[in-house]
Amino acid sequence: MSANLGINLIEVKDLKKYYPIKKGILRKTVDHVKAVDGVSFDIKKGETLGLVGESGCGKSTLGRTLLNLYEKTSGEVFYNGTNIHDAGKGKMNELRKDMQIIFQDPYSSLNPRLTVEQTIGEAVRFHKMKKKDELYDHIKQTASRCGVDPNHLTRYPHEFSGGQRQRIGIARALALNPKFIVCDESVSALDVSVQAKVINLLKELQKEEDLTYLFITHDLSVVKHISDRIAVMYFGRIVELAETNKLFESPVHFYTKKLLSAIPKSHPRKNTKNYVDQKTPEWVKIPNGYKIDDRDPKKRDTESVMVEVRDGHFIACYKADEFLK
Amino acid sequence: MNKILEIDDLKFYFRLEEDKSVVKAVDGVSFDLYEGETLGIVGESGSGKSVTTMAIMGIVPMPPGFIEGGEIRFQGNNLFSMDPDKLRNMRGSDMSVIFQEPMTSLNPVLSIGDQLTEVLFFHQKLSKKDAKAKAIGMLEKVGIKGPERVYNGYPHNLSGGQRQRVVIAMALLCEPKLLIADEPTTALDVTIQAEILKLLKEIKEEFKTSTIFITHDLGVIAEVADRVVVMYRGKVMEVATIDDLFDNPIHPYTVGLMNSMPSIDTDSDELYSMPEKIGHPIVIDREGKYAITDEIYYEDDTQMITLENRELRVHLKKEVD
Repeated sequence: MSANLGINLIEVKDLKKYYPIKKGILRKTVDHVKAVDGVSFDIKKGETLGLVGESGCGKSTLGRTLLNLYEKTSGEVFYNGTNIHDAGKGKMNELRKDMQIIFQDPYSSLNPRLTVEQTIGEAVRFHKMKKKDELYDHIKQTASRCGVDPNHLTRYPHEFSGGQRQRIGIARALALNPKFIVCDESVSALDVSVQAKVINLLKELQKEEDLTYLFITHDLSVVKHISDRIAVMYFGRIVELAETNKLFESPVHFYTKKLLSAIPKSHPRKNTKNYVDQKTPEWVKIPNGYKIDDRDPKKRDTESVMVEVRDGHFIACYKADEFLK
Repeated sequence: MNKILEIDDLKFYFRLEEDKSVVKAVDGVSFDLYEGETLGIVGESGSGKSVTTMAIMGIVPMPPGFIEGGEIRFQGNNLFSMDPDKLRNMRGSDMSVIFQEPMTSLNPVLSIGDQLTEVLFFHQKLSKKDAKAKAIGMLEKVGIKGPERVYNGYPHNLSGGQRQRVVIAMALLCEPKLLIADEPTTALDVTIQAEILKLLKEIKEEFKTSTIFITHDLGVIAEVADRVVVMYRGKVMEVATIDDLFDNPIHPYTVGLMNSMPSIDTDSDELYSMPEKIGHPIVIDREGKYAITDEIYYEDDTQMITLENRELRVHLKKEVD
């Protein structure tokens, strides 16, 4: 896959996003929903990091907080060394060009009143990236690169199929020549044959433009196909992060095991791999005083940290009680 | 084995309001369902798989839908010429459906108990007490913990997986002979999906229900089905047993569908890209003996034939010596 891994393009440090639960006439905050609860990871330049987890685990909130679309509760996100939440409005506008997002639903993520040309060109015009006479050519080029027929630029979203709309969404993100794209369930709503084409397109564009992806999905076969590394999220925290092949060969955290064992089999006579009963492999080296964090997420009282149990394989661990005393 | 359901050249069309043009949603579909088997129907959106099964239940709004031709026979009786009252008695008791969206297929303002016992009052004329006992027993059977509490609760008290279990319980209450599951796990998370699939398999063992299982996910099909119908644009492309289909898919559309799915087992860099136009294999007919060729035929003149343990949509070329 990608070759020039090394420089961290994105660094996330202990990012938290809480939503207040308000009650009573005074709307007093009684508790918080901890959608993202202390998440740290890096994404290297040119890499695809897959982020998997079930609905409600906070993966989409993480993706959007990371782009500063949602305000964070605490923690830091660095893009190319710049802390994006500290950057002023002007600087943030600059950064937005580099950091884009492709949404899940190709039906609701496009403005029905804008033509394809307006949709793709809107942000380019806002950032004044192209002169007036260059703009149309740029839109045309971007569209055809993403497989949208340049003759259809005057059409409206309702005139396209789901796959075509998703291509328009990709073209809209790509028109700004971004370096980093969050793909938030970008292929989940598509039929398999269309999904295959869009995945191929995303991979092709990555090769051409040296793009970095955070690929959020609940589909494990898709994430295996596209990612260099995978982070598994569970109740607001990342519980395991490893290279794709290593994760699928020998998952360590119980939730990763459960998730991987639930994948439907690929052939009627093949049995699904059951990871759940697998013992913790010998190479897992957990420092003294720590335990693998397999606590009930509702009863987690102390913070957990990501521990590197072998080269590039991280597991969430917590300080065991007897060492706290 | 006996056939419980026969669909014979079903043509189900829709007439569009604005320009009176006709959409051929189901265009000459034939297949049979045997007693006790699970038949998978796969296809992408718009392939007609849902309309076919909704036509079996008689729940497609007409108009705009209309039956252009064909027959659906359930236990030998043609459903289209049946007395409407008789049909209504059959729906929900002899045949029932599990829908895709557990969020929308339950009524939010009725308690789970009310929704479950409705079919028992209507079809089996049970007393209130008996109906409640039966409903709670069924909730327990589909793996719901604390069935009493759930019985008195409302849909919003339940998670997606629990709701789907309730819907399955509802469908099974009258012990139907035919169960139609329309993408029952598509809206669920993988771990919940695995649990529901396991439950459906157990139910099949226990009740010996004949099931039609509709999905777009070949992985799910591999888990549950005995035989598979592959549909594309309102027509059947291939019908085969699950082993034959996965070992040796023949129709270009089936092959394409399989190759389009990213697989857990293989590392391929690029996924297969389905061509815009799907063709059919050309088969040479030598005095009744078929020989399949590598050539592909792109026009409409195709037919279903039996070849290599399956039914296949092909273009037949008669060879004369």
